Amino acid sequence: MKIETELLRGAGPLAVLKLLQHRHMYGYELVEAVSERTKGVLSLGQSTLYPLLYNLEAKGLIEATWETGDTGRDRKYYRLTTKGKKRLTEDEKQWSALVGAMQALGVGAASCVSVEGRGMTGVIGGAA
Amino acid sequence: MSIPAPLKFDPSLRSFPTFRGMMRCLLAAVTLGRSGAVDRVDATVDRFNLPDPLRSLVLRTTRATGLWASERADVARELASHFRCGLDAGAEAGTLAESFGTIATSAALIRRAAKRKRPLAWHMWAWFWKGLGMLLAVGVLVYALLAARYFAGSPTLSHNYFKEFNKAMSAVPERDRAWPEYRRALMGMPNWPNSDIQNDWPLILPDDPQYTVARAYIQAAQPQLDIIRAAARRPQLGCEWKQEPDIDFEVRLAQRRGMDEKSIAAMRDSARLTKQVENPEVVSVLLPHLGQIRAMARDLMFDAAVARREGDADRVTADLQAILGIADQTGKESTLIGQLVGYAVLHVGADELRRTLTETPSLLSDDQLTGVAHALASCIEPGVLAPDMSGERVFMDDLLQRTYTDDGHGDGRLTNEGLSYMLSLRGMNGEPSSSVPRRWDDAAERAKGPIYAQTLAGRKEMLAEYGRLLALAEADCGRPAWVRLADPARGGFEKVFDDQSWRKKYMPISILIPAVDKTWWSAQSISLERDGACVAVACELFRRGHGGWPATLGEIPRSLLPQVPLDPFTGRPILYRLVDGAPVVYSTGNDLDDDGGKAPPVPGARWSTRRLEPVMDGDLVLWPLIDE
Repeated sequence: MKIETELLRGAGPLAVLKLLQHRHMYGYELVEAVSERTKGVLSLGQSTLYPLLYNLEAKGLIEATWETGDTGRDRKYYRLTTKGKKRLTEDEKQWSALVGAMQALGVGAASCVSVEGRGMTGVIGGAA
Repeated sequence: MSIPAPLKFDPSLRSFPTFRGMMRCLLAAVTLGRSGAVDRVDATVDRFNLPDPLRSLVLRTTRATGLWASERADVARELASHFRCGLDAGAEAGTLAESFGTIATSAALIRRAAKRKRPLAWHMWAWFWKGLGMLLAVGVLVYALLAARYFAGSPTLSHNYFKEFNKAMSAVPERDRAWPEYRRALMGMPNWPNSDIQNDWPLILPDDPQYTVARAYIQAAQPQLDIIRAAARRPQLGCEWKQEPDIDFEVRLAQRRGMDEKSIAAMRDSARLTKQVENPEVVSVLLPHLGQIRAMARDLMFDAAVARREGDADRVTADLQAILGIADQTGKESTLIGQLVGYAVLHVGADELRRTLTETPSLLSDDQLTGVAHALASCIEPGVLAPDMSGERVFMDDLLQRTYTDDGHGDGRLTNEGLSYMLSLRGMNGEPSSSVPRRWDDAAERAKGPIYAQTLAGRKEMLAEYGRLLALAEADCGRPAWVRLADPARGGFEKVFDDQSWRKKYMPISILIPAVDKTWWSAQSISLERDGACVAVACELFRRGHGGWPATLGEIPRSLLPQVPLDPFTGRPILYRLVDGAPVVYSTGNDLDDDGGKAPPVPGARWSTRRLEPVMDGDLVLWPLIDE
C-alpha cells in the first residue's frame, strides 16, 4: 500500500536533516540511507532528491562542498549548518508532537502494525 | 575542437551574470559556433564515464532546466556523480534511469529549486520584472475591458431638438412673426453702394465724401425700411432654425455686396451639396438672421441721422421705435447669442436717442420723446438686463445625446463616436484645447479614447454640472459692478475654470459654457446706457416744462422720472450736474470717484467699449453723448 503524498509532505526535509545530523553525506548515499533505514517504507525519489537538497541549501539549512572520494570520483557532500541543526531540533519536536497527537487519537498503534506487516511504502517528494 | 580542461568548482560561476560574462558567452558562440557552456557540461559528464543512456539522461535533464551555464554545469556534475555512485554500488544503468523519473518533471523541479539558490540581487531583479509584468498585464486587461466597453457603446438620438424648436416656432401666428417681413424687406433692399463704407458707416458725417453715397442708398431703401418699421411692431422675431442655408436670401445678400456672378454660382453649387439630415446638430444651427438684424439696425440708425439733419422728427421717431422693436424681439430669443444681439441693437437705439438729444434736443415733440423713452425703458425687460441662460441647456442636451450612451435614466457613458464629434467642436467657444488630445484622427490617438473617456464625467453628472454653472453664470450676470468689484472670485465661477482637473472632467462644458464676462458686461453697460438715455429724456422734458434744467435729478417729477437709476459701479444714484449751465449725466466709472462729469481725455472714454479693467480716471459720461 502506498502512503499518501499529503502524509509524506514535510517528511523528506526532516529525513534528510536527520540523516545529516551526525555526518556529511552525498546524494546517492542519502537515497540509499533513507531506503535502508526505513526498510523501504520511505524512499527518496532521485529526481526529487536534488530539488529537495537545493531548497534546503537555499534556505541555509545545509551546505555543500565537492570532494574527491576514495574511488577518486567527485562527490558533492552535504552537511548541516548551525541554522539547519536548530531547524532539525524544532522539526523533531513538532514531529513528535504530531505523532503523539495521532497516537492519542488511536491512530499510531494500528498504523505501526500495518506498516511493519504489510510493507507500506511512500516516495518522499515535494518542496522542503 | 579542443575539449576544455576538467571543470573545477568555481564559486564565482554561481554569481549573478555580469555584462562581461554575457559578452564572453556571446563571443564564444560567435567564434566557436557553439556555446562554451555546452562544452563545459559535456566535458563534466564525460569525466564520470557513464553509459550512454545515463549520460544522455544527465545532458538532456540539465539542458531542460534552462538554468545559467554555471548552474547547469553544477547540476550535471552532481547528477553524473549520483549515477556513477549507483553504478559503482552495483545498480543497473536501466534501473537507475527508470528510477530517476521523467526528464521534464525532474528538470522543472531542479530548475525551481536551483533558482532559489540564486543571489538576492537576482531575486530582486526577477521580482521587479515580475511586478512590472503583472502591472502590464493588469493594465492591458483593464484597458481591454475599458476599450470593450468604450467601443461597444453608441449614442442614441432620442430627441430632435431642432424639430421641437421649429414646431414651437411654427405655432406662432404668421402676423406675430417679424422675420418673414424682415426677410422680404432685405431681399428688396438696394445694393450696397461700395466697399469703402465701413461698419461704422452710420456715423459718417455730411462733410464725409461717402455721405452722399450713403444718403442715396438709404433714400432708395425707404420702401424696405417702411416694411421693417412695420414688422418691428410685431411681438416676436419668429425665425426658425435652419440646417441648410436660405440660398435665395444668401444670394441676394451677396448681390447687395457686389459679389460677381461666378462666385454666386459657386455659392449655389455649394448649397446644393449641403446634406439634409433628419436630426441636425443644434450646435451647427444656422442663424444668419442675427447678422442681418444688426445690419437693419445700422440702416435705421443712419436713416435716423439723415432724418435728424433734415428735421424730419416723425422719421427719426419711427426709426428709433423700429430699432427698439427689433431689439425687443431679438433680445427675447431663447438663445444667449440672440439675446446678446438684441442687447447690441438696444445699445444702437439708446445711443441714437442720446445723439438726437445731444445734437437736436428740440427736434422731437414731448409725445414723441415720451413714446421713445417708454419703448426704451421697457425694451426686452425693464431695469437691469438679466440674460436668460435656460435656453442654453438645449445645446448641452443635444451634445450629450450625440456623445454619450443612454441608460434610459438620464445617465450614460462616453462613446468613441461621441468623443470624435465632441473634439470636432473644440475652439467653437474659444476654450483652450490644451486639456484634450489634438490629433484624434490617428489610430494611436484614437486608442487613447478608452482612457480619456474615463477622465470625463458621466452624462448625468455632466448635465447637472452644466446646469449648476448656468445658474451660477446667470446669477453672476445679474450682479452689478459694485458687487463684482468686491468679489474678484465672481462667486466661484472663475475659480472653476482655473482648475485643470475640472476642465478635463467637464471638457464639453468648457466648449459650450457661454462667455459670461462678455455677457455680463453687455447686460450691465447697455442697461446703464439705457438709464442714461431715459434720464436725458426726463431732463429735456423738464427743461421744456420748467424753462430750465433741474438742479438735481431729485427735482424731476416722478411722472417724468419714476426713480433715479443706480450707478452700477457705486450702487448709489446715477450722477448729474450742471457744467457751465449744461446738464451732464454720468457714472463714476471704475475708479469709483466723481470727477465732476469729465470724461477721460483718451480713447476709450466711451464706456461701452471698456470693462472693469484697466481702471481709468475720469467719469463715464452718458449724456451729452461723446462720439469718438
